[in-house]
Amino acid sequence: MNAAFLSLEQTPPLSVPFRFFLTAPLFGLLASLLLLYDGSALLSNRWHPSMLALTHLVTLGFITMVMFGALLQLLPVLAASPIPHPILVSTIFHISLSLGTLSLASGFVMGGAWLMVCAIILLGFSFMGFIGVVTYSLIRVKGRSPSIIAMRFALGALAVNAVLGIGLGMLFGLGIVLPLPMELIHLHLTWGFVGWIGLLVMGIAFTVVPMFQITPQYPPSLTRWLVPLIFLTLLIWTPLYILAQINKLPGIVPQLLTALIGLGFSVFALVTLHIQAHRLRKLPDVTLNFWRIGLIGLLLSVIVWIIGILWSDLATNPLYPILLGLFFIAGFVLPVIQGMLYKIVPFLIWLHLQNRQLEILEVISMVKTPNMKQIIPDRLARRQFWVYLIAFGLTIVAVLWNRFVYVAGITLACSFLFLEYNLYRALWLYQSVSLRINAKAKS
Amino acid sequence: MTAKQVLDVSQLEPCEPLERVLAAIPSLQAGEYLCMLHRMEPHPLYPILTEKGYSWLTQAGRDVPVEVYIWRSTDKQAEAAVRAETK
Repeated sequence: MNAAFLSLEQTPPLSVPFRFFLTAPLFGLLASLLLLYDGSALLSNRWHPSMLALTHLVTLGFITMVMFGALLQLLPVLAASPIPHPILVSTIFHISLSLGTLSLASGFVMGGAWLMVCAIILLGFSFMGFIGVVTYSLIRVKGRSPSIIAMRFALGALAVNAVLGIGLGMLFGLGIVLPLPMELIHLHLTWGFVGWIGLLVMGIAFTVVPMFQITPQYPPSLTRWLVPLIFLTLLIWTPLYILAQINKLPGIVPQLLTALIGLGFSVFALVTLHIQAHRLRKLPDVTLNFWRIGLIGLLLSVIVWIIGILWSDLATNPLYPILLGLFFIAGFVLPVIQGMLYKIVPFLIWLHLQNRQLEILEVISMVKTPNMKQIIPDRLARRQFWVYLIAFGLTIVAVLWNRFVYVAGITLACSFLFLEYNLYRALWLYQSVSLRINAKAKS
Repeated sequence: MTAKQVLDVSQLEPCEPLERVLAAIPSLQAGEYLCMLHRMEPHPLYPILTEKGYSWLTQAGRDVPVEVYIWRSTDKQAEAAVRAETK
């Protein structure tokens, strides 16, 4: 059973995941401001330094930031395997990831070699330390749930991606010559998007979709095989792609493998949409809207990806990789992560409040704790969903017609600010109820 | 009067099952036990039950994936009734 080891006692302090969750929208906001500052130039060329900065602000500053927080939170409760010294460890990783991402983005925009060196050191330390700590925790795991298996593969992909990223940082920042730089960038992108982000989203979905959206369980054969098969395909694809690039192998061979990976992601999207359509209670749920948009975004990404393979003229258009990245990141990953946050954050706050008053109060003198729907009201999350959806649409329009870039940047900034407000409001509620519990315990 | 109280939380989303069961157990009378019907094993509930002086027994359900039987740890009559039903 997916939640077989879900344990209240193992839950780390609330500050462990929350420092990551509250920082992530701020990086989203920074990315939006960069879009406002340099939008027309960056949206027309994927190699523009501001575009590289924007991509990393979102992938490291938002996506990886939330993933770090979620993993440090979920590992102890799903796998009954606590992270050692959670507050110290989360503080170190949070600071190094934040400063490393800022250095990298500044290094791209301003071109300072020392900024790139800082980024390499901070991000390298953050990733390798994080991988080490989580691996230590995963080794001691008592269960073998599909989510745990997916976390292991995603972590492996993160390790590959981090090594590639550090190498490319040396290339960009220090001018160290690397063989096949364009191919290394392609590998970095693929291992990051497909391996680290894609596999982790799948693994977390295997637990949180049935648990929070009251859907039927995923088919066991899918949860057991899909993630390992995609990882294995990615592993085989890597050398074949290099061989094809140096004309030692027909290009169709690695392309067939990428089509297989696309098929795997499409199966995940379609099965998730299917079980969500058969959920046991068909009540309105804004997180379902985020998930549905995300899964449709994933299917669109795969379609655009496959079309690019079949129609090489389209793939050479400079706008093609920007639109493909936009569909995958802003169309799939960001909505799904926001949908997860709107379930995980209220649940954690509720769990901690419940735990806190059980520790210090008798049942008879309990303080009324808000339920999940009150911690982040549906109306606020729904409004933020619409702002995000409009921002996503406007960003696509802005790629095609640059004059829309300012309105896209402003709407995107509003969306991240709104998300930050909703998350911070939940934390404020936690603090005010905690104070009431403390006051009651003293009286 | 039956000693068995049934609480079906199998279609409720997280936090509601825990809230409902915590609200229901204080009203258990001598000899009574609660049978909670759930779609997954409620691990966060167990340490709370221990803390509050209740015992539990979990088994695969007939109509839902999981049945959790809960009784006051000091209530031998309720425990015997649970053991008899789940034998």
